[in-house]
Amino acid sequence: MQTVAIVGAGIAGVTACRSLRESGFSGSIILFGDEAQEPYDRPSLSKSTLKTGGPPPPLAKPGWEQEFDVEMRLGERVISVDFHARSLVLDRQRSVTFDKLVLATGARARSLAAARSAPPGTVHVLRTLADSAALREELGAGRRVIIIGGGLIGCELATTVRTMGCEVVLLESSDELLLRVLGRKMGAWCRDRLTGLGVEIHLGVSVTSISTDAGVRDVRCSSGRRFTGDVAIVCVGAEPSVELARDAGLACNRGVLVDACGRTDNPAVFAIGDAASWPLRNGGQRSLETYLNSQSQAICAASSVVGQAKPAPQIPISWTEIAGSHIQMMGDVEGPGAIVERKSPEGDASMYLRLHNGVIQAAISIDRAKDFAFVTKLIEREFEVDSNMVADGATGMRDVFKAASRADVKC
Amino acid sequence: MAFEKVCNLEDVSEGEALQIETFEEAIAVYNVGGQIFATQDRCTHGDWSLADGFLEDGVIECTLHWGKFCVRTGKVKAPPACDPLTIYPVEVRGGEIFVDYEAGKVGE
Repeated sequence: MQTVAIVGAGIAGVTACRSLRESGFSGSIILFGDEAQEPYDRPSLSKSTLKTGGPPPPLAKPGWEQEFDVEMRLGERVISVDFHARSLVLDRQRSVTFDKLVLATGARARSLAAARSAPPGTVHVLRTLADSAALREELGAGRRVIIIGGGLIGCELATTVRTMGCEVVLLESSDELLLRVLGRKMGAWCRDRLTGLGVEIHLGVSVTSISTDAGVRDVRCSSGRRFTGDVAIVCVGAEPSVELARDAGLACNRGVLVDACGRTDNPAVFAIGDAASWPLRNGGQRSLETYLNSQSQAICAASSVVGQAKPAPQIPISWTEIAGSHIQMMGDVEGPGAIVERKSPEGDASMYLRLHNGVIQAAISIDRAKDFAFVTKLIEREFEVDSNMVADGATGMRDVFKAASRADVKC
Repeated sequence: MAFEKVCNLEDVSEGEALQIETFEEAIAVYNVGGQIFATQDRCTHGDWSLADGFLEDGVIECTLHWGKFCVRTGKVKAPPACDPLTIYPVEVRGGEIFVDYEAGKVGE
């Protein structure tokens, strides 16, 4: 009987287990997770879980491991892979052999050089439930919180922490928030909204040191500015966790390099989720660090494992909650073509879309989930659309989709 | 067991879903290639209307976090949803759609 070992019990690993069974795999599945908790939903860690202190939503319903016949090894860290013996080394005495291996080792918070000399426990990061719980311990009305990094997690945290009654100072080294993921226009939009919530934002601020003096966090910047607070959080992005792969000799470049079927350069090994650098539909490849792409990669790799490989080049897709708005994005906003701004009937910007040759390549939606659902299908299927209809907020995207799919059938 | 009229067949065209608010909890009525199904309208993952979602091949996709459900069985087809939908018996008579709300049961 074949054994598939999956390392990493986040959304990618758990989805891979399910998909393997759904693809008809009848051998044994062993899932390793280095955290002791049942697999949980990470996006909530910066939002509801931090705010309420309640448990994060589970990734699968209780008893799923029996239903899918998965051997879960939680709280167990794989320290190395021996490809020759096809085994995972757990410690000096124990190892587990496999026929196929799926690496779903995720990503860790990138560390900031300036924070490396800070005493342990004085600077927070956010990746795990333990991180979220430790941060929550320190929050409370009137506490002054310094967030270093104005990307997605920094802005989500600024929102949550502010609504918990803390004073929030957000420091970003570039000249706008969220530039990498949402682009300049949305960055400015979010900055306005966060400022409206009472978040103090400083752009172009490069942190050089974080120290603690009598319990006060002292954040110093290259410009000579200083910010003091009760809590410091560093959110400067993530780094794919590739040590297992790299140490075992697999090709890595900010993620384990895979093809569009999730295959690494070793035929028995696959990589998915944040740990994988996966090919994109529009060219290039990278680690996408999103929930939905991790899910899609897991489904794809499961098919590859059972010998039914079907390439799934990715289109980045994710969502965020910033300053009370539900923002969804798909594709890369930067690229060829023109940006169409779709206004709501009330005249507010509700969506930014990048159109190239009549096809929507990317979109960002603000509180327009219903319309966005149809935009995602238009992007996936590359249907030609009427840009005037797209720009007209009074025309539902459902209607744009219907018109485009009819036109597509005619061709 | 009581079937109640919820809408006319023509109110839900093929490939569409309609939110019905006549019962204690809203339900969604779907037209899948001429066959009519009914489930709870609220996604089991978050407080969001499934009738606003994307219906294709009998699967409804929630527009909030893209969880998916089979509208016939209520079964979860994609996370982040974990719990199945409640499904309701449907009858179509003379161009009208009837649903037995009391007979709703949690899907697979």
